[in-house]
Amino acid sequence: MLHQFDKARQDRSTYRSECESGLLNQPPKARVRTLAAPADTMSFAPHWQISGPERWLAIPGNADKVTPEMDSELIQYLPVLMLLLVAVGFAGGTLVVSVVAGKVGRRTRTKDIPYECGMLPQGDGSSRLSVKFYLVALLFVLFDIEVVFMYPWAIVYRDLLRENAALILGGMVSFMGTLFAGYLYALKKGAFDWTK
Amino acid sequence: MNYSLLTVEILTALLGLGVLLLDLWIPATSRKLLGIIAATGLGVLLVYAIGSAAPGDGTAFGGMFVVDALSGYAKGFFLVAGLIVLLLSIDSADTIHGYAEYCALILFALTGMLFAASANDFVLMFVALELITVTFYILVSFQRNRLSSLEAGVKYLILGALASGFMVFGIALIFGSANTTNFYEISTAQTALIKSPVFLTGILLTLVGLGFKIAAFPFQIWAPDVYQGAPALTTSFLATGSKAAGFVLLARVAFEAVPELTAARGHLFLGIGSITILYGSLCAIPQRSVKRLMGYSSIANAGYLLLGFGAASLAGGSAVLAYLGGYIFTVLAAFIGIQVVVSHQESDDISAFAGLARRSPWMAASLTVGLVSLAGIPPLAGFFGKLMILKAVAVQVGTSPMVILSLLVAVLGVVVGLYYYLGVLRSVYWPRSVSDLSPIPVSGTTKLALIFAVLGTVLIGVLPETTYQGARQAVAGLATPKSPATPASPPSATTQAAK
Repeated sequence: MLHQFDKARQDRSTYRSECESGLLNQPPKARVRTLAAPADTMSFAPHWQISGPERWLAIPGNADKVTPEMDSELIQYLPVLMLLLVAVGFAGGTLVVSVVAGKVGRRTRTKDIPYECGMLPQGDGSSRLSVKFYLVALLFVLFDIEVVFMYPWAIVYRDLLRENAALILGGMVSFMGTLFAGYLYALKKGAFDWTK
Repeated sequence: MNYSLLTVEILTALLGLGVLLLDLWIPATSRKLLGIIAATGLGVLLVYAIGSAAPGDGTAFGGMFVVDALSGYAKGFFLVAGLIVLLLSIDSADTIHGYAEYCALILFALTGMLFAASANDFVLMFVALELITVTFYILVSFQRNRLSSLEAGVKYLILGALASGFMVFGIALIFGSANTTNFYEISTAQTALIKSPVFLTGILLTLVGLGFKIAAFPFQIWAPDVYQGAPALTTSFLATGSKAAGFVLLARVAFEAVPELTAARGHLFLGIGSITILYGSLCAIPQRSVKRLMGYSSIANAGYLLLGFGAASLAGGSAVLAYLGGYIFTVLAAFIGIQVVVSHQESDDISAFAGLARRSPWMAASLTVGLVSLAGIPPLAGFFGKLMILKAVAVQVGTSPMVILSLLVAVLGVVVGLYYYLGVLRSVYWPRSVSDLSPIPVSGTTKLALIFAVLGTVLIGVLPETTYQGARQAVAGLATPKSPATPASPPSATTQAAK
């Protein structure tokens, strides 16, 4: 049995060969509108795993091309508008409710002090932090965040090596090289000297 | 994909990294060496870029990065600006705290400008602009012990972040309505697109971001404060490279992505340009600080350049680029004088320039060439640029009442400009009272930078044909189709998935 990664890789290479032959960019000859699957059989599989004329429709974005009316494009932003209304409503509502509720209730000295996780607030609100903390944050980017980029890179490495070795290797080497320059810089500038 | 198209960009970035690393091993007493290495490297790159010019058009990264006449034209000027600023910085090597970082940041900003010149996609345009702007946040506030420098840095940071926010929101709307961010692909669909209100809003918001970079009305409010507060070296690069990058990108958007929109709404550019000229010129009159005056002058000049966009013709576009080329040399010539006086006198008040003609004839000459060219007096570059732009606008008389109005404003701006530019020169040559006539020493590298800047200003003014032809080819090249993105290969398959 094929491992699921191998399966995905196989699917992807079939898909890629179809891309190159231009098959995938052609809408099917049949009327596309009839292709829209009923909601209960709607497949959420990625388009390279679908065969037949539904594949064209499954490519993200193509479903919209079925109805090309440009004047209805603002409708797409309706969820954004709703989110905006909810956000403004929630923020404004909270303020109004707290003012109204605050007038009704009894006021004491303890109730009027700023709330700080149940502790007594003390000192200045904006205390100064040692610059070392910012240094740690920057070093964290240098040593840790780069792995976030290396992980997906490593997944597709073998596939892309066959296609464009210079791109897949050169891309990561230049990225790591830039970071290594940053590492040397941090080292020589004494960023790792914690006792200083 | 052809990586050799990116040679200059990659080498500039490597030069910056190299300078940064080299500083770790050389003794603190020989900091000047870093500036010399950076300037020499950039000089070699400039020769290479000019020598390898016209290798034919080409695109990389699926049509995102393009090499054409405009990119070649603009990159030459960007490299010259970087070279002159680096040469000028060598003198301050011992006074700038963190000189290696300063040189490296200038080179990184320059890399962003080079990418901006080649950006053929809204996304690469945004990334290139961010590379420029983020490095400039640091460059502006580089003198950490000077309050005004920090203040300028914070103002630039906040307003710059706001403008970037507008721009990225605009790009999102453009992508939402056009389904692509590539300039060429947008231009093929522009006739339908410019009827869509979402697309128009997107373009408008993008123009807000670009308007901030070029300091056009009503996004000009940062310019005088930042120009005055930033170190004079940074100001000189901000006024030339950063501004020119904004205009080159504006030229790409206006003449490559949506030329039909530019032609239809040309009067908008004329209107904004006129108000910008009026604001810059009138506010410059009472200024006593020369750096602040240059800030307002920079706003006024952005207005003239916008008038060229308002003409929305080949002549208008080429006039903009030709003006821009001369403007870079002109402003650098003026800033060489300002930088030397400011670092010697620690003041940028007009009175600090009193008697400069006797104290340092070199600097007086540089300042004179720069300011006279900015005022638009023949035979210098500034005159030629203004002439070409006004000519391109004037042939449109009759198409809109805005044209005559903007021409009148432009002429008024020139007259007012004569007053405030020559006001500085009066202090240089005919001071009211001079207390200090000790000579100001000028180093060899500064003289070299001065020769480049003055020679450029004079040559473009006397022999404008070469520059104008280059600019004309650059704008004409924008209309020719770029090779469209390669058919669905893995990278574009992911972009499709993103849609």
